[in-house]
Amino acid sequence: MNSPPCAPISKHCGSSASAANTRQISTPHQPRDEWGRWTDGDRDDSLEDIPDESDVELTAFRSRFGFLRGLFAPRKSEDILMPNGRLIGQQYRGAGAEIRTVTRSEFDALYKQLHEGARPVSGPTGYRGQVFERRDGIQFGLRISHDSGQTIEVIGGNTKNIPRGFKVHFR
Amino acid sequence: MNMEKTYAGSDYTIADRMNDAPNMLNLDLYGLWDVVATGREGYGLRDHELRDYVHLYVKTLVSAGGIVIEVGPADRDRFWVAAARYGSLPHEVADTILSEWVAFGEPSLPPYEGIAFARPAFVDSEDNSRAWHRANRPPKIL
Repeated sequence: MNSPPCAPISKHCGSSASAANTRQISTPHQPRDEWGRWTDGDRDDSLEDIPDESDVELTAFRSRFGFLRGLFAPRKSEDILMPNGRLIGQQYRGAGAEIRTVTRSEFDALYKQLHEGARPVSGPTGYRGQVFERRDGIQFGLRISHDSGQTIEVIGGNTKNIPRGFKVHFR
Repeated sequence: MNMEKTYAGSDYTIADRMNDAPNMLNLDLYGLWDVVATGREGYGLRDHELRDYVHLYVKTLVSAGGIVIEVGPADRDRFWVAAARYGSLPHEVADTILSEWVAFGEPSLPPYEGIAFARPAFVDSEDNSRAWHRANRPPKIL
């Protein structure tokens, strides 16, 4: 029996029904906004490690020293990638507006900042690098190319202001 | 479609993007997810304008020497494999992909899944090899 043609939006070929492909394109564990972009939903990472309210000592500790969290909290991804509302780096001739080029030192600093507080997560099946998720929900990837060197790119998360497909190279 | 429409926050027009399509294929693979995202979110296109944009961009990428690729099986060395079923003629490929995307409700697409476009040499390149990437992980910067 011939397999039905694969849709361009499916992960894998060979499913027996288009409904299967429809399921594959959705990300049921990650909510999307009205435009289909990934969002954090109602998740609030800032509360994830706050202790049980019944623990009086820890609650007291939090009330005394909770302000320190703000001092050491990683910067928001948008502030790192779009300082003063403008995309970091320059658009290199011949590349799209969402593909930016920075210096090597800027690239290293950018990666360092993004990596703060980020945890490794599994990436999309076709991604050829490592993916990390930041506390604000942004997922970014770092990959190395044989010809083009290293690239940082935004893979997912709430990218309302950061363009989808945003990539940073260095030269 | 207004080819002089500019990408959000820049003066980069749709015409510029089409002119740059060959170079984009020189940089890396280019996903259908990027085609849709740049049209919908970058240029703010909707409905028939977005469909025209997707069709034109796919046609341009294939005219520039790109082929359609899709994610390969996880147990093989190649991340991406050629997807010959879309044909090779630019208009034919664009028609097929557009009609499938429309049939699925014109969704925004998750990156690095589904299909993308690349130069034929990409498929057999080291950049597309799991073994090469395992052996060449980015150095730790921290």
